[in-house]
Amino acid sequence: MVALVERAKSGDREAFDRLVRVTHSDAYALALRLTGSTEDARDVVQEAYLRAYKSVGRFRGEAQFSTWLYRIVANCSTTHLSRRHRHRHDHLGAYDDVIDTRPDHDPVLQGDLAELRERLDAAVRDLPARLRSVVVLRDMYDLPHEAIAAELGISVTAAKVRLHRARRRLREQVLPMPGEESQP
Amino acid sequence: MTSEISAPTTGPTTRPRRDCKSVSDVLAAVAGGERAYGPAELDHLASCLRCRVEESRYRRLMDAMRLLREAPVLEDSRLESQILLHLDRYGHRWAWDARPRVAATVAAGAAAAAGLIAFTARHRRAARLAS
Repeated sequence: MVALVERAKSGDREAFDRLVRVTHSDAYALALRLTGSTEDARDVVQEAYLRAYKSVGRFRGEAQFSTWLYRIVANCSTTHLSRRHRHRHDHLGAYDDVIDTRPDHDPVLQGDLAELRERLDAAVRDLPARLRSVVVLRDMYDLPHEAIAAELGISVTAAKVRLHRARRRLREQVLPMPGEESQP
Repeated sequence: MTSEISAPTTGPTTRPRRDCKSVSDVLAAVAGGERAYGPAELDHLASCLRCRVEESRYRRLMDAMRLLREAPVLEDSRLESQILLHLDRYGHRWAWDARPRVAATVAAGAAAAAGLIAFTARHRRAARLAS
């Protein structure tokens, strides 16, 4: 991967194409989680790779290439969602069919966690986009607060506040304490 | 609050005691690895079953979030080729867009050279007339 990145930095298009092949599934998964729509995710990923291609020469290698790419995907998603917000045509439900729920290797632990994962997946999707993007980037993709704030165009404090609210909302919805269960 | 989970008990301590609300606010941050408990929060947790249950739920939530990331997403099989095609289009567009820039640079260079030649010729003529 490092060698490919170095070749891509020196303008080798074939090396960049190979980077696309290696990383596009992960980039698409992130875009899908941030946008909640397969159609939007496809547009976001295409735009993200174009931006990455234009700026790969400036990639300094301080972070992993994948982390750098996640930041670009997050930034493109924010732009895309704000544009979509203006045009207002949500495709809710498109995300329902794309998570592969095959059980993992530990049947005892995973059996329970798999069910939890399903509920969590739905709860993440139900979050408002501004909360969802922060919690996905932080708790699923391990991006630092500073990077999240930079890519979403908000302050670090705002990113932390949103993260706190998102986690609380998810916990209340997925693992409610007595008295927090949603009313019928 | 239901009665199945007890409220925090009070005991002899010199540290100011924390209430459930203030401890609840830090549980998610600790589960997320962004901070550690302070002594007063640890004291509270040691004696409050409700907060310990909430803490374990946040930890479970974090585990599930990580698991959610590992869940494979079924992608469109055409995605890779669409990305590469998008990059190709940009490459062609860039090459096409670059033509006027190259032409303008060549024209500017030619004009500068012509100007320099004219200036030199005029300077030489003036020097010849003066002599």
